Amino acid sequence: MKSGKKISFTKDKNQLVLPDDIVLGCSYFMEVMPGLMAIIVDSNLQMEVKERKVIDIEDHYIACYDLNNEINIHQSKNKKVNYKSTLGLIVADATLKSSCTPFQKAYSFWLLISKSLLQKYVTGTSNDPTNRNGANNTIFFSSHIDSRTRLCILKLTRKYNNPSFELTFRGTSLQVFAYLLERINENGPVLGKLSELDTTQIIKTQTYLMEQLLGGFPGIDFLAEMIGMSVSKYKKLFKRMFNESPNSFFLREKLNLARELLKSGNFRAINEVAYELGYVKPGYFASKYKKQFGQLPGDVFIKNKA
Amino acid sequence: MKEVVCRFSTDTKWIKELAISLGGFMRGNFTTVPDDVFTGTHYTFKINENISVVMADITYHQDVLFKVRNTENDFALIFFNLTEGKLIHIMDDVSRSVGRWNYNLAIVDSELDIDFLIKSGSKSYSISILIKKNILRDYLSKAGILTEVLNKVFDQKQNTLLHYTQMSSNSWHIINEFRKNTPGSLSFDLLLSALVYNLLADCLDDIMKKEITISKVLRSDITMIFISQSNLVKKQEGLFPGITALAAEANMSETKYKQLYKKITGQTPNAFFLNNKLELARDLLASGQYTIGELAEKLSFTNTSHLSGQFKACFGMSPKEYVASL
Repeated sequence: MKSGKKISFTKDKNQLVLPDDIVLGCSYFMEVMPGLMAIIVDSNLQMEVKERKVIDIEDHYIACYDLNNEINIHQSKNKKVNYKSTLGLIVADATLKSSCTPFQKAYSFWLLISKSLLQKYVTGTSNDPTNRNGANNTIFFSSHIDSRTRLCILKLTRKYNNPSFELTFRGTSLQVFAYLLERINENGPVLGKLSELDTTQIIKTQTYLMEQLLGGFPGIDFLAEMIGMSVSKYKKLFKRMFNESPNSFFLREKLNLARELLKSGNFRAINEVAYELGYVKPGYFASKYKKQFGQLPGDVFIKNKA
Repeated sequence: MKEVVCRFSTDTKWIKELAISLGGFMRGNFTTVPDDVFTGTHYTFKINENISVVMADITYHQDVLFKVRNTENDFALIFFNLTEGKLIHIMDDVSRSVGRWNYNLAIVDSELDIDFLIKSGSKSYSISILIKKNILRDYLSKAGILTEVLNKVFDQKQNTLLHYTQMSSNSWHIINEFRKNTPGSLSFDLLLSALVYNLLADCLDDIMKKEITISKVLRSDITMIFISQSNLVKKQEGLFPGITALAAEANMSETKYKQLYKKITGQTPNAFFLNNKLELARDLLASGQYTIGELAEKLSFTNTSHLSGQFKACFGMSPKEYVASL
């Protein structure tokens, strides 16, 4: 419940200065190359911090990788399935205060990238003469961490005590940065500036959608009303930030959850999973699933034998 | 056969010189040479003032003899090689081959000028890291090697940095993973830098596990040791000739011979001889022409159980199990 605290960096040392009341287990900080900094935080004791403004560095983008399980499934006694699904990767302008909340748990990896460095690598922002206000464009996306990035960050955890950790850390950070660039170039930059308030509101609906995955799609009208925006503005902004419509985002996340549920071994039949996720016709569920993953639900299903 | 004199350094000027002496040119980071020398991708990147890297994914179409004549000696070359068919020959002063280079990782001091020949038809994928010695020293010191040891290691009068070995499976895996990337793509330079740091880390871990032999190595020493090793390979069916005989053959004292052998090849002569013999045994077993008893006889083991014991210690399974698993 603290507010106004900042994490400050001393540029020339691998040191992360933190307020004493946020206890960190282990953190490591390094300037990997000019304009690129990487931080790894691995802790269990971090107290709950509600404050949102964590890092205040202008002219930087920040990429946060939350390496805790993105989809957690618990089953209670009355067979009701509880789950928590979050997006592990957020990339945003470091000055957008709302974009990064500190992770309350354990293990995360952060990259701080200066805008000028990123500009060099992102296609279409610097060399495109038609794009005059290139400097006004921003980059924003939140998504699941791709598996090669996850693997390469997780490898780090086993190496804290190796004499070569510094080298490994540098190598891994560069690798993660390179993968990130590839993804940014796939998505393209967000054109124009995003206002602080709009970003917060859009993320609110995104979070809401993530919580509603077991039900049906709430509808654009409902979502727009929830944050007090006009439907057309909401649709336009959402699409600009995430490169897809709210509906297709919702469907994709629903099917990601479906895959975890299928693999969880908590269900006796695929039909049960389909019903759980609010599909009326299991056949329709199967066809959607196949469209996304290229295989049928039956191919990954683990049956509950109890 | 093409003969080129080249030098290495941590800046990338030498690549241009090499390209020109091979009749080619550089475009950006890529080096292009005439098709009859080699074809494929040759990419150079300078990571910072102290480290640069060369990636070569090439097929040689004629024998190329490289005569390394470094002009600076403040750096070291770390060479990872994924060549099919191991066709690199180390040459002596008058350009005669003294034996094949049976390793895939080399750490070589820039002070040491080695001639090597790459045979026509070799398909080679290699990563060469050129790194300033003082940076290497920094990393080793951070890794916990004592200053007095480091002083000796980096003292040019006492010691030459030289380490021939097999790369760890981890390095091999990292390089193979890296091969999937397209050279020249947007994030390629970053991935290449990442690769270099990851490989250096792996190398460092590996060095920490091994004992460091300190001694000065001259070019003629390497030639001698390679000749000695080739002779050991020729005699692999017989009994181990003994250090005294080997040292006499190489015109060295026993102590010097043993020390240099260990320094250059990372093994004792006896261990090399035994491993080589066991690998031969494995290949002969696979051919199915010999029984285990016949093999023990052929390869001068005292008896069958001696062969079985050594075989098991080396490969983790007895010859019998090995034959059954074929």
